[in-house]
Amino acid sequence: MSSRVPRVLGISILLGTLSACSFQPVQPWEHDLLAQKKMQLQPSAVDAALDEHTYFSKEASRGGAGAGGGGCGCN
Amino acid sequence: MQLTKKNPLAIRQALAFSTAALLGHASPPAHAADNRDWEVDSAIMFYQETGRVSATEPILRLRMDRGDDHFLTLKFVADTLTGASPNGAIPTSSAQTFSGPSGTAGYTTPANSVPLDPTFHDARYAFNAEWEQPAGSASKSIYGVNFSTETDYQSIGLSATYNFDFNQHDTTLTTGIAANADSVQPIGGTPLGLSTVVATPAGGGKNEGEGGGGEAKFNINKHVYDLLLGITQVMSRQDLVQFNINAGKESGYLTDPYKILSVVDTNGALIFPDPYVHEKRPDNRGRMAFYSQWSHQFTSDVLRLAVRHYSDTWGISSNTLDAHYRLELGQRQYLEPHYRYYKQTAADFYHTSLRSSDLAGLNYASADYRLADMSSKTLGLKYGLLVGKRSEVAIRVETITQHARPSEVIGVQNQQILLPDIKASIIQLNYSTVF
Repeated sequence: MSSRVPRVLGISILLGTLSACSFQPVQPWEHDLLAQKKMQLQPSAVDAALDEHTYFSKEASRGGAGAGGGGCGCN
Repeated sequence: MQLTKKNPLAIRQALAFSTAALLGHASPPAHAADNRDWEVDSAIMFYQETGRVSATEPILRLRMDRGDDHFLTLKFVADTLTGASPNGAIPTSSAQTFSGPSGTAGYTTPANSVPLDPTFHDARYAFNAEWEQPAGSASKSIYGVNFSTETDYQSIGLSATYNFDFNQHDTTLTTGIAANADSVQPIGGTPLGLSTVVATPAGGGKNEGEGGGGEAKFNINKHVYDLLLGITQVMSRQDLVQFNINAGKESGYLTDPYKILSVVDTNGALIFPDPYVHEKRPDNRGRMAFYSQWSHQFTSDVLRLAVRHYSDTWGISSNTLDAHYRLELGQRQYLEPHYRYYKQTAADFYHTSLRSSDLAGLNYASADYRLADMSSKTLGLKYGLLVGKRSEVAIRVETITQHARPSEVIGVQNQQILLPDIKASIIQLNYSTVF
């Protein structure tokens, strides 16, 4: 798989974010779907914490979604 | 939580929560707007690498509503590791004998096998607390403290996050800082980087692997700092997008005291009588990560797509793609396939083995495969079942495959598989409730 794919997706999401001002505002009463737990950026806090620890100990990269979160001698 | 026009506070709260992935902050409970709810999230993960390390990791998270938009979140994690871990040396056509981390233990690796330290075992306990409070009508602050301890490693950290909502709460700007002060006490003392590993006969002493109770001779420090800037934008009624920039700096002892490198001749064979040296990494590391995530809800299913580009001053550059698709099975069950792909370049000082003629000119070197040119693929599936009105049980099964590439294959090393693929399996059970 080409490493370009994540970059292209990232750039697409970034451009979408930056162009958000041109969108019609979503009214507060239209946030019903967004308020659902499954629509949160981290729907499961414990899954996210376990994943972060696993990949931190198995790979050389860290950070991005969050920062900090505790030290570990595993890497 | 179904929000209506009658509950604008909950709407703001929910949106703010959704933007607070910063610093490991989690998403809100489904009933966060209810008065004085306590949310309980728990899980236990079983991790097993084929022929190598296994880990059992229970986690408990409590989020307590203290009223008036004040929340206290506590998180406890325990991590028990056992099994064999690569020591950095290459496989050879003859059996190899190594010292244990304490300098008194020894073990032998059979011919044509990757040297694994069989004495590896440790337990880690971590605690995290966060306090969240409003900071004006459209913003909030989150303050965190974390502490963790292992046999040979302790860490204490502080964090602070500020979120500011505007544009009818469609947009949230986030800024956060975190600092960790870590202390390392290598079992058997701190080896001098790139010095010869002192040989110890196999089985020639008490076997005191990591966590085995050996006495550290030195106490050395490591500091980690992070700065995060982020924006979260509601794109539509069904779309939420986040973009973060995360800069980090690490300083102090960043070397793995238990990793070694093989020293070889021009034909790739071990140099005797001193075929191994301790690894040594730079004592500073700057890093930068660009992270973006998109959540989209279809009729009821949800796609979460995240990408990250990372680079650091060690020469490592990586890209990550992480995708989840939550497939609703009626009102009370769901399936969530997971795919993750990760690819990194090697650190500038990564060497699968060292030529003896190059050793004198090196400042840093490591044969840790986690610093190699490497890719990692994860496939997973989670099944969730809602129990009652406010509880959920789930099971998650995943496989991780890592494929690392040697920096160089010298002479007779082409007869060996220097870096075989690593395969890991994960089984995880979750339980969450609100009361």
